[in-house]
Amino acid sequence: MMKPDLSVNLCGVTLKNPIIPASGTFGYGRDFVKFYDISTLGAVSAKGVTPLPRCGNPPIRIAETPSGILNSVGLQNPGIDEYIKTELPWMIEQGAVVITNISGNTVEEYAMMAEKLDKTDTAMIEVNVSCPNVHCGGKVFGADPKVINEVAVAVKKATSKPVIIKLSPNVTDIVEMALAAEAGGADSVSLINTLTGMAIDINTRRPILANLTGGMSGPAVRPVALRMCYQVAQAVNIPVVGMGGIMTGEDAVMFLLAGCTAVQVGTANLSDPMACPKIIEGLEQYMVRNGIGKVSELIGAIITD
Amino acid sequence: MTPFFGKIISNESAGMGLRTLVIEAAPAFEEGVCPGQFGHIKVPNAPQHLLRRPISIMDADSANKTLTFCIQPKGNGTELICAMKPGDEVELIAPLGHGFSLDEAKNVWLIGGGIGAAPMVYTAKQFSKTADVVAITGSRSAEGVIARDVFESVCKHFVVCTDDGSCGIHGTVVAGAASIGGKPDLICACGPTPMLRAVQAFALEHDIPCQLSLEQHMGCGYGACLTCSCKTRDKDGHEDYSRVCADGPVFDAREVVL
Repeated sequence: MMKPDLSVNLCGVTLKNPIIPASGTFGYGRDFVKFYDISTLGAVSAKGVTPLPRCGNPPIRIAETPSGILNSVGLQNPGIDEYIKTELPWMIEQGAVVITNISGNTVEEYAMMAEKLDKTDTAMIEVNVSCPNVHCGGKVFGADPKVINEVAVAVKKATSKPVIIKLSPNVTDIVEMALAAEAGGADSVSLINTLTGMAIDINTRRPILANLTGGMSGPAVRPVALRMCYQVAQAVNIPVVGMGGIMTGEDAVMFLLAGCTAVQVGTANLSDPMACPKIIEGLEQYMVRNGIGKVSELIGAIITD
Repeated sequence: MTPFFGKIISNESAGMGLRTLVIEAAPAFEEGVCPGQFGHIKVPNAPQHLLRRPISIMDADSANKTLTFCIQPKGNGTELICAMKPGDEVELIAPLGHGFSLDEAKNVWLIGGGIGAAPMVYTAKQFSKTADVVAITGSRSAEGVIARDVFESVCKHFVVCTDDGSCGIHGTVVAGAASIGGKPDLICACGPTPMLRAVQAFALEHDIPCQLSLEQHMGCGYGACLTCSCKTRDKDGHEDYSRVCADGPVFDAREVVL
């Protein structure tokens, strides 16, 4: 059989394959080039940037939980200007298709960053709406469909780049959030961000994370993520980028079948630096085994009757 | 660099519940192994443990291409690693991080508290080739003294300190250091944070170059996830977080905020 075609079209951008390391688990790729060529990835979702540099939360920032991890890095990053000057061009030099992930505390901050990125070579912009909204008493952006809609409208107005809204699972109805993003003009939605969790050391009686709570990820959340991706894909007419505990090529296939156009791999990168290349290989082997010529044949191909 | 599987050559008790594992690790020697670097060991046959366990390299044998790790079973993950038998295979990434550097020093004190004495074994072996090395280790009792034979054979002096006085000096490693007298031109230390803080204060007070090896809850181990942070201060006094895995685990005592 011929080598299967793994390429997908995401918001008008052709990706070699549908595998993208997730924001915050890959830095700007600098720590991975000693392991493999990062241009072999579908794209790279870069570590989230904010309007100004952030030093992040105090340690301890990570805890292992059964088949999962909790983290509270606190958006440590060099700020959008330094990112555009140094990190983005470096990733592009390596041949990566870059998705720039942005986080703000106000709608204006998101728009300002999108405008700055409009003149760069970033392929897409991913908007992290899981940050506290300083104008709404710290309520998380991603928990209010009205605010998600506003952010989507503002970012789309500020740039001609494709815009992906990254949704938080810490809501009652994620479909409502996805529809709000779509109505605001978003080109795509990605989900799920981490689930808020906590761990306690029973010997010291203290929370393990200095920040008390953190974001939970890994295979433990995969069934929840898959369900949410399926429901969102059923409801929207824009491409869905799925993520949540994908560790193998088979896991990636599940998300494609559920209706995702591409998938992101997060926690697996912390477990194994070779996770993404192995997942690409696993996906290709699945296609060969099952006689599937094009990966696009798998997207939304779940059978529910 | 790539993760590799290594066969367990031996797994022996090192006293106080510690285990010493010798692992076949030929790929680790491709770029050389520095004292103070670590291996990131995958918990065997336990997919529920997503994170590897960072363990300092106790010894590296470039002729036989083996790495030695001294491991304290602290939870289920390290217990499973310590339960491996000779012939079993384990996946690891090694060597990682920045280790100790001798620079031009000729008179070095190596200070190890508890299991922090483990990385000092390979450090003592390497540094004693060109420098006079004094090793000072601290443990709860005589049973917890690690690698006595190595320190005694390669070091000019070996000072043992115990909390209960069952062996050597009854007191901390700082008391042990003070008992030596004189002034080294380099101190390297690894151990619990209160010990590192005391060593840092001693070194800064006496204006002795000092390198400290830190420990932190760790994610990837190669710099990407930014979870194993420690506070550092640059020359201008600006404080920031550095990565223990990739910027460390060994830092200059002048830049670490403990």
